[in-house]
Amino acid sequence: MSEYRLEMRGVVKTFPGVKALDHAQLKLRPGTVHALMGENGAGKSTLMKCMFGIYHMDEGEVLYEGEPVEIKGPLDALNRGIAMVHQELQPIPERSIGENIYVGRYPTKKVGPITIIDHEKMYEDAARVLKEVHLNFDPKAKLGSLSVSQMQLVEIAKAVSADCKVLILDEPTSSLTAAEVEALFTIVDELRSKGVSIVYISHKMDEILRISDEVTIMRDGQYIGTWSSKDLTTDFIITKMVGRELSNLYPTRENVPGEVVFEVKDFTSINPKSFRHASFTVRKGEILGVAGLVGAQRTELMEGLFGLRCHSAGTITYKGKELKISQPRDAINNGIAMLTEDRRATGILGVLSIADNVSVSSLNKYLIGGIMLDDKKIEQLVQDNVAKLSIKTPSSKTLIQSLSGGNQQKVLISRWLANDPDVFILDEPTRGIDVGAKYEIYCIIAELAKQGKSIIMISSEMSELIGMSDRIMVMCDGRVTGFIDGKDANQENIMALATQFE
Amino acid sequence: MENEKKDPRRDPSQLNAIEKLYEKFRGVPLKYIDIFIGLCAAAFFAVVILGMLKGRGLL
Amino acid sequence: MEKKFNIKKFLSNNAIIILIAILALVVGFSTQNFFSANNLKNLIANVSPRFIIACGVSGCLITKGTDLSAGRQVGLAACLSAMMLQSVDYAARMLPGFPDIPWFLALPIVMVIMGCFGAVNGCVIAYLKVPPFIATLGMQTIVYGLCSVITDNQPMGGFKSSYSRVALGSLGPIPYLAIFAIIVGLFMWFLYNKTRHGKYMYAIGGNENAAQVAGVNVTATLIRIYILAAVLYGLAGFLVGAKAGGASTATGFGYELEAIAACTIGGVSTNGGVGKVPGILVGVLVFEILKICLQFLRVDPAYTFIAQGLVIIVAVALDLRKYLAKK
Repeated sequence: MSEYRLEMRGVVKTFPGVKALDHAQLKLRPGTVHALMGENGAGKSTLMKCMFGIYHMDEGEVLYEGEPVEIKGPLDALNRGIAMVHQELQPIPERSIGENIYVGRYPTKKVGPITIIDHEKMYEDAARVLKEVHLNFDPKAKLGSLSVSQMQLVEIAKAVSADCKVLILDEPTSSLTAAEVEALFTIVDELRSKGVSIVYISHKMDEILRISDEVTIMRDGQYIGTWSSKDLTTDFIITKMVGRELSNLYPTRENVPGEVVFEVKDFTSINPKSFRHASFTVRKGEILGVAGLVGAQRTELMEGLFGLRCHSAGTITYKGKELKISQPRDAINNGIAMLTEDRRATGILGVLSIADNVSVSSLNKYLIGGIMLDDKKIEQLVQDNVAKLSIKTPSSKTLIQSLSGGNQQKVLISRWLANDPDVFILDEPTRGIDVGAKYEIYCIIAELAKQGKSIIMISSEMSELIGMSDRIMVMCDGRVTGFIDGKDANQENIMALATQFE
Repeated sequence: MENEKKDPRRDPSQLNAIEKLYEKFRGVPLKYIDIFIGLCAAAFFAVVILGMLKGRGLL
Repeated sequence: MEKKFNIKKFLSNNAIIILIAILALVVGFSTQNFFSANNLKNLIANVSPRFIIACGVSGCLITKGTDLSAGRQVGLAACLSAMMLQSVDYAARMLPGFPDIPWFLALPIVMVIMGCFGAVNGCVIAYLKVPPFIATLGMQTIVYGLCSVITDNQPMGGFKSSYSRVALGSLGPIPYLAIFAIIVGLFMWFLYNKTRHGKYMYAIGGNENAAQVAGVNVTATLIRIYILAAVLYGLAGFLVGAKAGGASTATGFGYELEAIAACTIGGVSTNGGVGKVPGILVGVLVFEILKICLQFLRVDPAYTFIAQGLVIIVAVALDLRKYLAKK
């Protein structure tokens, strides 16, 4: 009997023009948490899809409990005891939680000659499963009544309910709060002690180092190596993932903050539970980091400044002049730009081309005779930005939704730069972006600050805040609780201010 | 191959009427919709032929 | 699995076009006069006003809305045109005291009047945030009611010969109707591809929230779209009246359904943010060719309705399929 429960060997998978997997491999032992890491495009998801039968491998084999197998699809995998929690949720919000958990494999009973779904049993089983993963939801409630993070937990419950021997978690904590992440880790621990092999795909270093026993790193579709996680450090992992030495995660910044130009006083939302009495200043050429826990209302405050949310009191002043902002267009006309938190929802115009996405906010500048769009000038703008920000794309006509997260973010930054803003608000600018692209974006931010722009950067990544900010503003539960100078900032004093509830 | 926090389903309040209608079919496997389309296409040809016959007084 | 995908995708995107093309070939080779200059002229005459209507609706569809009042607006426009352009010596003239004005004066008046209805649609949708489905459904009934009141439910005929000539005459080999359609087509193509309005329209359709964040004036753009649509319905109604030689409260009934289906067949999808003018033309052609085919096959009229209805259902089903497959 092999010591490995599941083995993938010599897997090759080619798509037109791209070798997605180049002799990749994976070996899973029972009762371990095995992390799978790599940049975007490294092949992690592709490898899992090959295992699951969603993709057909060009070469290679899969051995399950010592025997070679050919898995024909997700349901076949599930029947063999291999379950996967996808990164992209596929919930059916109109149907109940119980139905979502058992979709495709409803328990049945016979009524005379007819086989129908046994709803009673389904809800009983669902209740039991939810309890096992410490979730308090009513299995009969509609799935759509839950928040996104709760839906993700139900997704995990679904996989766990399948009584699997191998569980694959693809970015399971991307939508979870800190408390929910803890709950997830408890479940993972319990599964591990039951002997389940768990594959944990994630970009979050601290989680990986905490929860996993072994780490496999992939790069460009190739297998780089497997290490025991207690021997690993963040720097080592990054070096292996990126394939080159990164002496610093953050670029050296050459910006010199000048005089105060942007001032916000007593800014209060019309929603009493949201931000209130927020006051702060930003200097020319300064990067102001904004820290806080989930729910601190940082995004809401910035959206309020940008005109996406209504405020009941407070003033915004730029270079002494008070600004009246009631919708994004006002903010833009006053030289403010905002890169929103969820680029898919409020950032990119997915079905439009890169050229359209870059130019949409500044079309007034590219007119012939005041009416007709000057396509040549727009194309020039796009090419300039592609070069300046190293945007990787086959052409300017490519749809933006087919770019990677990092490149999409760069396109959005180009869009804002086309208006030459003075104040640039960035909400989680590197969320969901791989390590290499993150560094490029940090360089762009640093360059903008050097040019004299005022940057406000909301981030939930401590090291990013500490590494990039000249000053950090901390919020807690809608209030600004304090400011910390960049060179004095550390995890402790930031957290102290972030948890200063009234 | 993205590792972003994604919610493919947007906030229900953002969907317009037609999308809300379409979402009701979310649970139906594509296969059934294809079969439905095939049936409609077949019905189309049946109706055309029947109509031809009727129009020439043969029905 | 990945190679077959292309054939399947091509078929599902162009299924209806292919089907109707096959039907046309079959009919063409089995009947007389199908492939004739006369039939072609007939086709062009039918396509022209329908194309103009479809262009109007396209803006609403691209921004994920709809305009169910299109048909009735066309009807009202036809009736208004009729009322202004009946022969002075026509016995049953609707407005006996109305001055004798040339058609090129009546046309802009009608277009401006219809534009007001469009403005109402736009404001209700953009400011009051009423879903377009409901707003335009309401407008549909209101317009129909107004038309009944104004015409007292009397059908009108007896048009001036100069008005009738607009529909029946040609500039050389090209019917005047086609010239109107071509001008509208070129204008729409320019608007959609070369102006800010067009870009903002596609942006709103692609992602209204993101467009808002990017600084697009969503309200203004939407209102302009519905006004333009109504103005186009006005022009189409004017032409439909001339072509039919008469107008009544029944004119234009159900036109929006065909226009929306034509747009859907032509690539304008409820997914929003996509749709091109040539596609709209193709969609309208498909529908009109279908109608002519059924005529040539001497299909009983009742069955024609059903057949057309089935094509509309298939068009919507394919659109639904694309929506579900994408997400």
